[in-house]
Amino acid sequence: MSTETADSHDHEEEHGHHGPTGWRYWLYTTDHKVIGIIYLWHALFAFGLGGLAALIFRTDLAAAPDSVYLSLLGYNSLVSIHALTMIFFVILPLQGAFFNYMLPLFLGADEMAWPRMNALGAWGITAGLAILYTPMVGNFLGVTGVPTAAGWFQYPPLNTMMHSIGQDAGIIGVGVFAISSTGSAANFFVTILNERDPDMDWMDLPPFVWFTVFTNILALYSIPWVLDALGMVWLERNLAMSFFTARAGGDPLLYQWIWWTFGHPEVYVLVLPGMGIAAEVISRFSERPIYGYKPLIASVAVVSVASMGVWAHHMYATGLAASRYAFMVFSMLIFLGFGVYIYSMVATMWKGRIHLTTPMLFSIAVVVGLLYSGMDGAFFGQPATDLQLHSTYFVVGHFHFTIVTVGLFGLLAGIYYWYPRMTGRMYNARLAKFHAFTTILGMMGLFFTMSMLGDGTFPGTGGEIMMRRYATFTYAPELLTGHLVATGFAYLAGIGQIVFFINLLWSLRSGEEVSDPWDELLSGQNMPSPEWDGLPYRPPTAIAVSETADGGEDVVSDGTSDETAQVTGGDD
Amino acid sequence: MALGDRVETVRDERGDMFEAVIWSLVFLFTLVLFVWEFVNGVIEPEEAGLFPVATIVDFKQTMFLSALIGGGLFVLLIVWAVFRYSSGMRDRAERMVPGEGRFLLTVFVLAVLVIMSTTIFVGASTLAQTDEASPAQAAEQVGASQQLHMTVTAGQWFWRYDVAGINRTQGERVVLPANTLIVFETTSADVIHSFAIKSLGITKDAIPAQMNTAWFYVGEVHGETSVQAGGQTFAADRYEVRCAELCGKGHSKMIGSVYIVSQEDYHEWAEAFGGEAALEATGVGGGGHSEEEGGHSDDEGMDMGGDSGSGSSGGDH
Repeated sequence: MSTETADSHDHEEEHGHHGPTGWRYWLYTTDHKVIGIIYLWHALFAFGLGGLAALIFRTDLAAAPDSVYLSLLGYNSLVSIHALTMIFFVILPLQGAFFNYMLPLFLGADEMAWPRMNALGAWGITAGLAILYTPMVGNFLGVTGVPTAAGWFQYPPLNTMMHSIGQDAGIIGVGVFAISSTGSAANFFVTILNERDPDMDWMDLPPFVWFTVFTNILALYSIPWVLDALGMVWLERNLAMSFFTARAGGDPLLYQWIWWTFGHPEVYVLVLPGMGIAAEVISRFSERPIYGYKPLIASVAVVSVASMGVWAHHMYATGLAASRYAFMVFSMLIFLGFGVYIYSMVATMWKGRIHLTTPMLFSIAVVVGLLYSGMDGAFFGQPATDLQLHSTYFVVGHFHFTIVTVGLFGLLAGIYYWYPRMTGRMYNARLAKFHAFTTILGMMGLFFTMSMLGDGTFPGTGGEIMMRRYATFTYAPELLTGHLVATGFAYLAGIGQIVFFINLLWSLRSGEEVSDPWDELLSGQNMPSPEWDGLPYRPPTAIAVSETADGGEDVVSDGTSDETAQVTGGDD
Repeated sequence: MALGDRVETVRDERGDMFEAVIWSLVFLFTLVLFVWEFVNGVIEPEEAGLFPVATIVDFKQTMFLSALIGGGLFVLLIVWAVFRYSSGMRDRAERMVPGEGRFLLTVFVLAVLVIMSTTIFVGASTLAQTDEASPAQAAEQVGASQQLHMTVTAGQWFWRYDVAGINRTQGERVVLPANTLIVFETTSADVIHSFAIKSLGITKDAIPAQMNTAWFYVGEVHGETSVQAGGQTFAADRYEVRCAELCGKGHSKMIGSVYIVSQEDYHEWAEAFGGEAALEATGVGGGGHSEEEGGHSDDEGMDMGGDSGSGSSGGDH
């Protein structure tokens, strides 16, 4: 903590402010860097909580087919809390941390467009997290019922019928966070629109900024829907209104339409920033320009637009009829967008000189994870196969591949890549490599085991299928081996995360002081990045790089940014 | 552990040849898992005589195969790149020529489009043959000359089956005939449940105040287990029913059974259990009166099934 405080004080002095000090400084700040750090710590704290929840119920699953160390309801509750924490309070704040800290650096701006809105976004996380977890503490103390226990998408009437304050707290917690993130999303988007350096044209934006643009358009589009859905449930629970109760004239399916209109674009909100960071990192640490800058941007645009039209593939089993054909076509369209991304990343690495640094390892894992996630996901875009795999562990494996190996891994790459930039110190590289090893191996092993349990391909299960959100599996005790393996992988990943936290905290105090470790590592490469080297900047496309190099192969890294900037003309 | 070894930290990030091997092995390991899973998906046994699952499995195998080839190829490329092009293995990167590989990218995009549209067309026809088919179309596909109507009601936390012609509601298990198209409707008494018999390829949500129709068909009985009624024992096969939508604390306990007996046995069983085997002609295949039914359109066929189903249960109660 002390380093950040010092860092932010530096910043304060630069601008000649004389604001409050101590805790008031953190609370009242509107400095984008400090707010970015606040986002980061919130995300890491929530990551610890959500991970712990996962380890607890994974242990429960692996103990015995009928074991419920947690009560049946407690199991549901822990699963719900895990999902809500990871989706809303880990991935979103973590990307928010980088948007806050990095956007102004990338764009050459002094500040975010609306600094106060920015601060609101940060403290909205605290409020939401506190409200979500309060019933859990209450439940441990025996004061309240279980926390929210209807799953992360919490369909009514189950949601409206649960008599627990925890259910309301879940709704309000997510609601408060959703309000603050809507503001933040608008802020990020407007910052990119209005605060760009005058010389930075749209086609000069680094890939990360492009991915941020689409992320926040999708966030602005989708997050209000979750407020609608949860708000209506809250009104139904507390003010006896009836939107979703059939007995009183409501329609239970209405909720699902609203929820998944939010839910699917939300998935792309979760993965796009990670993919953007991976694109930056892969290009830089392969010493190669981004392959196909424009097709890459176009592919993200395709994915973003398509993502708004696929929501009903979550509802194939609800009795939808012919509209399923249309949703199937849109769902398949996603392949085109992500296919081009994967192609571009592989082509960037190909014949490059790949430095296997920690951020690079996580970024490669993003590309691999995206492949696995897409190959699994194809079965859910297709109504016919979806009906056989719906609500099995194949789904669980699939969305964990998407959210963790794509979304989270990309953000972890971002943490390592920018840690020296944010703290002025280098992390311990050996511990970081250990973290990367355990996380990539553990998570991928875990999600493959889940997928295998879900489509009956785990060895020795005789084709039995594990159903999603089942606290027990007495119907098929032979699944126990699979759960043991899954839990083993989960623990491996868990150990890695402990090392990760230790490394971050230790390096904050004792890490080697560096200004730009990557410049030292990559001396000779010709690809500056604005957050390290400042503006002016042109993205390292093949044309830009070859023009800068001016026929020569080796350009001294010092001053490359200026050289790049002086290049005019030329098109991709 | 070299925690205090500060000078080393940045240099440690520079991978050497050893690391190139380790990391390509890590990614190769994930590829092995992927191949294992998807190969098993390709060679999944075809459930002959079980519909709709047999039709779905055909399509699923094709998808597993194309995902295996397409996805596997790309992971293999990445594994190779991590090994061959790592900084431990070479001194400098090759320059990227502007416009490099533009042809290959075009080919790739076209290939994705072709695979995508193939999947769309095959998927659409699979859907049309399975979940989108009307019972009459379904009967024609599987060659079922008779059908039986059933209503499935889900609740916290039970299944209830009202089968046409049977006087009693069945709960713990339901007995149904083979060689017969089972046309059923799902609904719920409280929250949303989902009626899933994964081994038959069936998942249908049970939603309050909504009736969802689906159908399945079992061709033959292997006699793996048996059901008893009125002192008689009938050879039967068990298909497991599971709830596929989180419905509260009893969700994982909502396991039910569908027992399939042969059509002849079903007549005897129904009599012994209380009621009659209310099989109806579907208008498919031989049989005198089924020819007359054949004149009706599909829609009428469906209405008839619904009417007789509700009629018989109404009369019995």
